[in-house]
Amino acid sequence: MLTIAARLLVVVLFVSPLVLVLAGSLRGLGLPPPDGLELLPSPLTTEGYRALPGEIALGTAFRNSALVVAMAVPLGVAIGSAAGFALTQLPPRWRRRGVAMVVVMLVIPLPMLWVARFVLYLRLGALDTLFPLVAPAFAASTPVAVLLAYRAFSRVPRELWEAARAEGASALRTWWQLGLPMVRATTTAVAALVFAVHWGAYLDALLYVQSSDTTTLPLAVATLRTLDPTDLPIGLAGAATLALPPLVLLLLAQRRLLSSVDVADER
Amino acid sequence: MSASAVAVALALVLTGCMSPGGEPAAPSSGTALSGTIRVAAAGGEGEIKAVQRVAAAFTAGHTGTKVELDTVAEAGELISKLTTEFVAGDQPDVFVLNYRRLGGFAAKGVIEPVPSAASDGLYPKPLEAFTFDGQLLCRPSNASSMVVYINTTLFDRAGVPLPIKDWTWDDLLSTATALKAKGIPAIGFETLLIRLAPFVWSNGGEVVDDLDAPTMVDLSSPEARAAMAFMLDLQKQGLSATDRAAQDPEEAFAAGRTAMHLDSRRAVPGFRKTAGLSFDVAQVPTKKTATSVLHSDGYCVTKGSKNKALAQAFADFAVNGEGATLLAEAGRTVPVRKAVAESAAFLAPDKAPKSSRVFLDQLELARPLPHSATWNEAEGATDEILTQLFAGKTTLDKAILDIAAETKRKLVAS
Repeated sequence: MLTIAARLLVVVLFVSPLVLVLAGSLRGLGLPPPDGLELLPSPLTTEGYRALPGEIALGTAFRNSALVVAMAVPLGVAIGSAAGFALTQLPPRWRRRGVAMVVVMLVIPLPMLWVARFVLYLRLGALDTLFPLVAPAFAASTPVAVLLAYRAFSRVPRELWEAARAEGASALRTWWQLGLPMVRATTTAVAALVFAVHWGAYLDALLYVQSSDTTTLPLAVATLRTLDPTDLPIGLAGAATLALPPLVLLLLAQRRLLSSVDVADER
Repeated sequence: MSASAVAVALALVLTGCMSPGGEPAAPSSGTALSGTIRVAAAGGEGEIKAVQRVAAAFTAGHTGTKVELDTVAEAGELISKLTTEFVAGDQPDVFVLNYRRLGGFAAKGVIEPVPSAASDGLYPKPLEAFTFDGQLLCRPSNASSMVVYINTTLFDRAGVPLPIKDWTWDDLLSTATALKAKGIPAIGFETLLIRLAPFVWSNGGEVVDDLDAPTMVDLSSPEARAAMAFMLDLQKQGLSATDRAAQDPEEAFAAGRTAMHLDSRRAVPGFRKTAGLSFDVAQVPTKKTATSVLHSDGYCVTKGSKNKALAQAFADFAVNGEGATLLAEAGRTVPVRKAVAESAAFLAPDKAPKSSRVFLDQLELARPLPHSATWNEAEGATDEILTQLFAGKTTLDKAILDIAAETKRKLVAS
C-alpha cells in the first residue's frame, strides 16, 4: 500500500507541471492572467496553438530540431556504445584511466568550451548551420552515454569477448554482433538520453545559430518566455509542443525498457 | 547554471580577450547602400516585433539591402552570445543593448562611435547615458523611466482617490494602506536596484560611493536606508515575496490583482492587450526631490562590422528616421527624438495610458544608473541581495553590508 502511495506521489510530482502547461495552453488569448493555479480554463480554446506559428517559425524550427536528432541520435548512440565497449577491452590499468578521463569530461564547465568551439565552427564555415548542433554526437553527445555503455558491457563475462577474439572476430564485429544484442535495454536508454540532449539543446543553439533559417525548437520556444502576460497561452503551447516528442519517445522506450533487460543482467 | 550567471561568468573571463578588429569606417554618404547586416537584439514580444518592423521598413526603402535579425529572449543571453562572438571575431554589425549593460563592451573599444550629427534633436539624458569617455557610442532608441501604473478600476471600486500630480511618499503609503484596508493588494514591484534607486535619489541619497568612478553600491547613508525601509513598508501593503514567486508583479497587475505596479514603458503593450484592464500611469512619488530612473536601449554599430555604412544607416533609421515612428507606435518605447515623442504616434490620446505625457515630464528629471565596465555584474549582485532582503531572508543592516562587499569585489576588479 505504501509502495503504491509512494509511486502515486512520484507520478503526481512529475506529471503535474505538464498538466499545468497543457491547461494553461488551452486558455484564451487577451484574458487577464489567472489568479492562481487554473486546472480547467473556461472557455477551453486552442487559440494559443493556432497563434503559435505567427509568433515563431514553428515549421522551420520543428524541421531543424527533427533533422538534428535524426542525425545525432544514431551517431551518438553508436559512438557512445562503441566507446563504452572499447573501454571494457582495455587492460585494467588503462581501463581505469579511461573511465577517469570520461568522468573528468563530465565536470568540465561547458562555458569553457564555447569560444574554442565557436572559433572551430567559424573556421570550418559551419556557423549558422545545423552541424554545430549535431557535432557533439561525434563525442557520444554526453559522457554519461559512454559510462552507461561501459557499465553494461563490463557486466558481460570477459570469457565471451575472449572466445570471440579466439574465433578471429575483429573488435568492431565483436561489438556489433555479440556485444550490442546483449545490452539492448541499455542501448535504448542511451538513445533516449542522446535524444533528450540534442532535442533540448538550448545553449548550443543560442550560440551557434544566427538566423531564423537555422533556428531550432528550444531556441524558438525560448523567445516566447517574454511574451506579454495575456499571451502566456502561446508560450505554454510552445512548451507543450517542445515536450510532446520526448514524451512520446519516452513512453515508447519505456515499454522496451520495462519489457527487456540486458542479457548480461539475466545471467 | 542560469543563463544570466553564465553570461556574467563568461563576460568576466572573456572580455579581456576582445579585440576591436574591423576595418576603417566606410563613407556614409554619397555611397549606394547594399549588402547584408546582422542585427542582434534581446527582448520581449514588444521589443522584438518593433525591431522586426523597423528592419522590414528599412529594407523596403533600401533596395539591395538585407537585415538579418538574431534575436534572443533576455539581455543576459544576448551578452553571452555577443561576448563569445566578439572574442571569436564574428560579431554582429549592430546590436541593441541597455546602457547599464554596455560598459564591458565600451571598455574594450569594440563599438564604433556615433557621428556627431546623428544626435541632433534627441533628448539629452539618454545621450549622456550612452556617452563613454566623451564619445557617444550608441544611438539611444528609447528614453523610458520608471512610473507607477494605476489600475483605475480597482481604485474606483475601493473608493480611493487617484494619485495627484506631485504626490509624495506619504501619499503613496496612505493610498496603499487605504487599498489594503479594502482587501486589495496595493502594489507590486520587482526587488531590483533599478526600482529602488529613484526612491533613494528622491530622499537625497545616492546608490554608489562615487558618481564618476563607483567602487561599490553604497546604500549605507541614512537617506538610502530610509528609502529601503519605506519600500519594505510598502511591500507590507502589497505583494509579498511568496506572492511574487507565484506570479510576477507585471502579471499580477495585468490579472487585476494589484492596484499599482512599478515599471518602465515596456509594460504598456501587454497591458493594452489585456481585456478588461483599465490603467493609467503616475509619476514616481517624491520625498525631497522629484526624480526617476532612466531606462534606455541603444543601437550600437560594432567596429568589426564589414559593412559599417549600412550598419550606421540602419541604426540611424531606427532612431531618427521612419523607424523611430514605428517604434513609438508599437507602444513599448518612449521616443528619444523629441518631435516623435510629442507626436500622436507616442502620446496616442485614444489609447491607454491616458497620461503618457508623464513619461516625457519625468524624462527631464530621470537619472541614469552608472555604466562602468563591470556595472552589469555589480547590479546583478545587488539585485540578488535585495531579493533576499525583501523575502525576509536577511536584515537591512546585513543586506547593506553584503551589497557593499559584493559590489566592491566586482567594481574594483574592473
